Amino acid sequence: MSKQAFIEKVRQNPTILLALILGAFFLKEVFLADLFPMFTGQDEARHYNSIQYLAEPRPRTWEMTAATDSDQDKDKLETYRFSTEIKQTIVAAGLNANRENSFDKMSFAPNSFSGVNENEINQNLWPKINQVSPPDAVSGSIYHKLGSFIEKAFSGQSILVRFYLARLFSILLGTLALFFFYLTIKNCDFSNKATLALTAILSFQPRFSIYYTSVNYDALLILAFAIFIWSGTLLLKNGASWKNISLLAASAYLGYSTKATGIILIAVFIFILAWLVWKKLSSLGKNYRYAPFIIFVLAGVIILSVFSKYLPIRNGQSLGEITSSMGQYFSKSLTPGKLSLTSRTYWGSLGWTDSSILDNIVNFINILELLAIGGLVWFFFSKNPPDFLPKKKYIWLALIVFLAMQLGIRTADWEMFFNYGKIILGTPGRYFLPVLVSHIILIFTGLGMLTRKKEHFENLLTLSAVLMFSFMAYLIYDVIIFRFYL
Amino acid sequence: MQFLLKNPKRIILAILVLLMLGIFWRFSTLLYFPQAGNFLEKETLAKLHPQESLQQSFIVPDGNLAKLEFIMRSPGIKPGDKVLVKILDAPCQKNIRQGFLTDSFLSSNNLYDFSFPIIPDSQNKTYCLDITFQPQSSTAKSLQFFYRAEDGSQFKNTSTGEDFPDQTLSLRFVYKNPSLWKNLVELDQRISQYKPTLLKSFPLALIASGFISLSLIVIIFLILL
Repeated sequence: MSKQAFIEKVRQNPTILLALILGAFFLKEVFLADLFPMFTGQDEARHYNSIQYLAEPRPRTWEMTAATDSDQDKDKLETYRFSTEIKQTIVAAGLNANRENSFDKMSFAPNSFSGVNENEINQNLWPKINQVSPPDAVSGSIYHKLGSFIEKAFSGQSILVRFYLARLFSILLGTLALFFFYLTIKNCDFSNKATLALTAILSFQPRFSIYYTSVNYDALLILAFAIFIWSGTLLLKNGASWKNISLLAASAYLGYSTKATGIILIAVFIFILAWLVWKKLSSLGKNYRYAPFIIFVLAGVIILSVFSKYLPIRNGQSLGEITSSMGQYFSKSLTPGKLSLTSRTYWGSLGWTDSSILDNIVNFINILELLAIGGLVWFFFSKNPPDFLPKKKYIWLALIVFLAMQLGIRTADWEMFFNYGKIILGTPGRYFLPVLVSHIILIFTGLGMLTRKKEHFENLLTLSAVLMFSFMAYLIYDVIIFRFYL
Repeated sequence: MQFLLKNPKRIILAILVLLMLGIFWRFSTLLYFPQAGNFLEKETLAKLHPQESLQQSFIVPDGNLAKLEFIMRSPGIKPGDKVLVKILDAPCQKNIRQGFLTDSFLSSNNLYDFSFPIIPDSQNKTYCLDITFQPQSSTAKSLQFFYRAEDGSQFKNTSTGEDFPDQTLSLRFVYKNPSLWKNLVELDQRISQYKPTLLKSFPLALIASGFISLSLIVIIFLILL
């Protein structure tokens, strides 16, 4: 087969390249999981402890010691309320070295593939139970419940095997999420090449890549969002069906069962249902002309009641207090510095480095985003947008999901601000990762509008995939490896 | 150039090649290995005024010494200023290596490097370190080096005559193997520690090369499509 014939075959049948993209993503994630020493992911020790806590034998017959706040030292992870095994492993492997100064490294054994105390860890002798009360564990997440099955099934193996299997579980969820990203983009009617290029861009997005290498319930949350957005796209494409609505409901439920952030999906789901009812009633004639108004008011009331526990209005504060607090919150959280921090941590600039290269990469992306906003405005007002871009309904969905996420996160942040008088949660970029696929679709639709020609658009996508891959490779080879090992 | 400009795909391919060369060239220059367990502690501060020198003897635990790392208090070395570092023989007579302190890559927490050609036979040898602050353009009054307690060590300010008995400057020994291959093997060893069998040694090398090869195949396919 000639090169041209082969390329034409790939162009017609994207499965080959999709398989390669998923394979490359999976290998990258395993490599990254290997590079990050144990418990260096976001709250990773806590999430792994949550898994261990659920896997503990029942009934809990052992004695528990009450913890005090003074026991906890943020530079010494073994002082946290984790299982005995986790704490002993942290000490034996010297993992605290990764927490203190960014220039500190673990005490590596010279000329050896095994750490100084690795044999001791592999003997699997330490109790895998929490003996300090209350345990530092997240309760009620389906992610940890699923993880606990792995923990139980491999309880005879050392913590090194069980911990990295838990990371592998996250990686498999990430690979699945990437597959749903692909399906979403494909169903938005991008060309085969554009679909593959956008999937590749997503697969190399550094923060998304790094996040999926750790034990964290966001791995399942992002997947739930991915399934939800795909189902929403299918609904727009094929019309409402029980299958689509069930998928939307199930993924919203999955998201909410994983993490409170999933409630955003429930709000969007109610909005979509309201939109479907409105469409149905609109088609019935003039007798129902007030129906849309009533439906959306009803939807609004339902959404507000769902969200009411996340709003600080239940304590009887006056409207004046609330608006004043909101004003203060916006003046503190929507500053250029805070927005820039969100952007840097969203795209993958790592907090423990002071690299102008990384900052400049993110600044470059910010410029592209600004251009994309211009392109998107033009797209929405344009009567005849280019036919290589998706139909407006898909972009509306992406925009609604994106804005719902912004609103949800910032509302939760404001609620904490209202209660404590200062910013507690903040808005780190990782909070917005669940809507990454919508964000990327929005950016490239905006940029596509500016390119005007399909050929230019596809070249721009290819170039973006090259740049995103290079960004990821730079982070892996010149930043992450340097941070932990050199 | 004409060859490139005729086809945007060629330009994209050229960008990919250039970026990969840059990333892997940088990676090859970063392959230095800090002494295991040699933590840079921030205990006490020693001031070094313009044109003053600090001097200390030190014993290097391993061979192939290629860099010394120092931790300073903020703001560290201001732009344009220089800190001359010399490694001399044990009696502080013969100059073995000489150069200036530079910002560490990624400028983490005021970490400064003095890199020099490898000293292959450095293991268990005693050397003398001499550091001189040479402000060029700034008006900095002093630099502040961290030091910590260590029995038997001593450093002194040779300009003022002030002695610091049982103290050592907070410095770290960093090594480099004589070949890229040996550096990669040592890196593989470090990454492999505290990992399950399937993520260490050869399987690790396989995963790393598999990721980069497959990713490049994906990107090249995308360019060709």
